[in-house]
Amino acid sequence: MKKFNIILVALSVVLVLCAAVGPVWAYFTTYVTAKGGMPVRMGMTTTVSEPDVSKWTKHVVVNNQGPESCYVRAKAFAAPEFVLTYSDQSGFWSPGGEGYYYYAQPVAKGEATSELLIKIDNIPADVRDGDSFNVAVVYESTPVLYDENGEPYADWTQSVTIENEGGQN
Amino acid sequence: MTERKKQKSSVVTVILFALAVLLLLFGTVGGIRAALTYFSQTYSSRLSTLNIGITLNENGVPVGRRDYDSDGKWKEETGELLTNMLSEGEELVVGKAYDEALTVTNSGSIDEYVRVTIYKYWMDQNGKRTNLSPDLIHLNLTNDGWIRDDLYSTKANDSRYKERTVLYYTKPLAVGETTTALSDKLSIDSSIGTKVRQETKTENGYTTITTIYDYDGVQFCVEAEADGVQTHNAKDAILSAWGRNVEISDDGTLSLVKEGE
Repeated sequence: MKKFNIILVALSVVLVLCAAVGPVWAYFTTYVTAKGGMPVRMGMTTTVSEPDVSKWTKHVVVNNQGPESCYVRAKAFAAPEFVLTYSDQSGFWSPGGEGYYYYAQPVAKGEATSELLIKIDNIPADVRDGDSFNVAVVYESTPVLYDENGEPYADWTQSVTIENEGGQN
Repeated sequence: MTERKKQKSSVVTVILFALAVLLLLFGTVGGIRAALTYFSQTYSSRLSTLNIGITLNENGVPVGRRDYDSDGKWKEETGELLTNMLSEGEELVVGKAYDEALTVTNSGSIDEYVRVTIYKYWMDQNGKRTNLSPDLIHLNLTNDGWIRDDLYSTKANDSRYKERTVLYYTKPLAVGETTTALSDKLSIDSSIGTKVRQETKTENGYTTITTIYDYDGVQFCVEAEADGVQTHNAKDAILSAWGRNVEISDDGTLSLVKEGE
């Protein structure tokens, strides 16, 4: 009789548990997933070239060999006794902050700036053939960034700097 | 124990057992009633079945769906996100905001509540780059009809769920309806340009300072999972299916119950 009671109690517990579990099975659910991605190219390669250094003038051209467009700025240093003047025929170079000349347009990949001319104006009177002078050109490039409206801008805190020294008369 | 007491104990046990049987029967009857309601609609109109379904859309175009068909079979289509983000030949521009409107359509035949879980992360050829920040992948959330589950989403200064954002659509989604967009724009933070190291090289009178970008060549990834659950007995269904306590108001609006964080 005692065994019979235990079996009945166990059956009762199982039945109650079954009654509780039942509703959990009834829920309708579904799901769908999708994903995607894209690589980011941040590398930037620019070079400076001086196709012509003559008549106390440097002709500076910056080439963009990287995978994306960039902005460019440049400036030059010389001994204190020399006065440097900047000019260009394209109208794209203009003076701006931090002593740099800024190229107005982004330079697309594979393209180059127009020439920036950097000239020593006060040529020493006693200069002789073979004398050399030293002018260091520093230029920086930075990737073209876009604001939320898609307008391009430059952030010069994220720039790549290249220094170029040398000169001749 | 006297014989009388033994008899009394047996009677009590039998009564309890009978009660348990009755409880189970009532539970079953409830289920049968639900089943009858469920199937009677099918019976009255053989063209209509009660199937749950969900479709994820990107900029108005379906990119994936999973709809119950019949006999345990599902109609499934899986697509990719971001495939139309750039036009042919166009390259990704850091900082630029691209259209990325994600919506969900109820492609089943019963109303449902939906939620979407967004994952953002960086990858390279060796797999996931956990040292690069998902925060720099900006998916702009509209907060229009969607609420963020802060308990299971990325928190500031908390590495748990760093890649994840969980959003609940607050209204029941009727058959054939589409939610409001949970996001509208996607952009990569231009500050990735500041995550750099520099190398200096001098050669032939040229000193070159090369900036190497941490994020150069890595791929950003966005993953979206849309879940649907029946509106009938929604509170219990959501707790059971998604493990989340919610409140459902009289007009069907869903809200999240604050739990210990």
